[in-house]
Amino acid sequence: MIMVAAITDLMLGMVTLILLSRGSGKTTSSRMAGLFIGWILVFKGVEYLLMATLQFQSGLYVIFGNVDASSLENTFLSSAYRMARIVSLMLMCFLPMVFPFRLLPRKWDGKMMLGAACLMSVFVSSIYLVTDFVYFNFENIVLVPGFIILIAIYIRFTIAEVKEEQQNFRKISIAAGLILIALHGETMTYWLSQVLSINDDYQQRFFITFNWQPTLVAWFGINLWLTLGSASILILAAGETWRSTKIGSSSFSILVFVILLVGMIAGIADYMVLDIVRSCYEVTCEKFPTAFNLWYEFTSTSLVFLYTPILFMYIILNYNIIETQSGENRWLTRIIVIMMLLIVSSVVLELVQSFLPIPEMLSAAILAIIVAIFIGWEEKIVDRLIESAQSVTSGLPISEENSGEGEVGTKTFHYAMGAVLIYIILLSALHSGLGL
Amino acid sequence: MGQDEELTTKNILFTKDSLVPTSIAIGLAMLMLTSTTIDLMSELEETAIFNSETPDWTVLFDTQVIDLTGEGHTYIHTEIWGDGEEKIIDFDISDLLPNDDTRIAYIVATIVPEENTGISPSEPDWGCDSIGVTVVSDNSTLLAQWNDERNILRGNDADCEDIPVFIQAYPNFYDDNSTVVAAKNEFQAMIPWTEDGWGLGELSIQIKIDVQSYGGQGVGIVDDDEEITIEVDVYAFTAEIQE
Repeated sequence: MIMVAAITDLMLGMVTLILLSRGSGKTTSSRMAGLFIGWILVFKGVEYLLMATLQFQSGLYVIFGNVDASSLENTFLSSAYRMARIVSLMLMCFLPMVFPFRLLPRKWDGKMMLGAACLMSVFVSSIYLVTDFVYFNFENIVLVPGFIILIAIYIRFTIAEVKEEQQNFRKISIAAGLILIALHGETMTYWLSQVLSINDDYQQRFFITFNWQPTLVAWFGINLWLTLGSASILILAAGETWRSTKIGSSSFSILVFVILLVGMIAGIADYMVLDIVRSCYEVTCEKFPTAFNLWYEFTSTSLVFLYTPILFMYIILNYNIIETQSGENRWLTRIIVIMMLLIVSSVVLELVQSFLPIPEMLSAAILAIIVAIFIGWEEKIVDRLIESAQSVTSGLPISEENSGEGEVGTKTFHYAMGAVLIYIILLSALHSGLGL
Repeated sequence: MGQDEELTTKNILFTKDSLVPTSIAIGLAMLMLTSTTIDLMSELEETAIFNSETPDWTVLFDTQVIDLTGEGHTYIHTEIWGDGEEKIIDFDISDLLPNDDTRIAYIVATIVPEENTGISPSEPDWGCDSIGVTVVSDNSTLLAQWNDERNILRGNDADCEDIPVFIQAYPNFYDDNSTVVAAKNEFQAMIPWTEDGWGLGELSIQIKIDVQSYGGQGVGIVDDDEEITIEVDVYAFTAEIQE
């Protein structure tokens, strides 16, 4: 599953960057948002690719720091995947400052954010490397400013939409909400367990099972990550409930309620197997029931890997971040849409097959039917997405940006992030080569 | 704020109406963070104490042959070789395990010549054929301990005796009933015995035969081929911690 997410992220990230490089008529704000999203997807893809390779070689347990240090390949892979995660987090930290709105002064925000993202990536990953990643996960703290910004924008524009009946404001609150789900979707299904404060029991089981002694800051980082996801979905659910009672629900409301419901069922399931969770500490480890493993695999492990790429691609297309209208870009956009739909349907089928006794022949036939439907509808889907695409600020009383002001060239952005990517790969190779 | 009023950095984030709900939302998030952090502090200490101990664990093994034939063997293959003929017989061992907890320990194969089976009374013992057996290890898809000292990868016989072959599949599994492991916990103790993939793949056995055609003075030529039976026994084990 992680390998599927890796390929999806890498392909979507690269296509986004290619489309951005081709486009000429985009505003600086859209282009900057696109560059951040494109590179987040690339680094997420690299992270998942390295993680999947590591898991394929050594099994799942290596993720929690229990890597066989005698293998050069393992130390390289584990260091590089963690460093790729750090870089993607640094980019995620700055994304809410350019999308939905550019919040910093436009004279210098582009250069400052790119410089800060690169410097922080290099600094944090180097510090972590020399400290053997004992503080790994503490870097989640960089997500806090973005969380506050997105929550503030979501609440501010939801209230404005309802009270002032400004329908134009809805696309802003949805944009903020979608970015929140894209950034924190992985932890949203743990919301009830976090409210009940039982996620730490699960983490303790992991730490005991894998004999890993976490530092306080590392565990705090994990807890912060879970809290931000849980708080995000609860705030979105509260906002959508209030809006639904006043105006009516929308497809975004349904998405939020589905995640909320999945999280609620997951929380109840987590609570029910708490004795098994604690058995590792109190007696000897008992295995989770198969049904629990399947549910967990389906809701909290597999699908969450696809939240980020799918939502980012929807944002890119729906908010006109890349120039999709031109003929050259249109076919590439169509490829993205087909790929997204096929990946999701094949993954869901694969997962369904893991717990329902469907013969492979039947699932292959179902997939073929889905492919045929997608190919038939693909043009309609793409046309609707492209034609309804609107810049997030269109129709809003927002000051016109001076093009070129504070602008960072697309090539400069690519060179800088490319250099960071090479740096983390070389540093990890050096680290493993020196046997540190 | 009306729609005509220009959006600035300040009023993009907050308005008079949104300031209180936003502050409450962020305050509740911080409260959740604080309470869960306090909760995990005690578990951090418990985990440190737990992980500092390294008790001994007894791992019990149950080893059995995978019987697909109903005769106590995994595979039985019988084929006729011509004089001087060399053949490679492949056995698929990729999908034999009954469940996820079972792993292949080692593989034993026995090459039984026709003269030793009583199938052909026409061939007396002194007509034994010369048989050469080699397990193909180069470029083999079978994941095994190819350099293990216990392996028997080659054999020759001209005395109508069975030729045994042995391949160690799982690392450091030496047919013991149990072993004692020092580990932090049950899971760590079981890690050496839960590696997947060992013993899976295709076992290829190369057999060459020189038929002893001449039965002796007064008997003359008795045969010019040989029937060989290959019995493959795949031994699988399950491991569990003694309670």
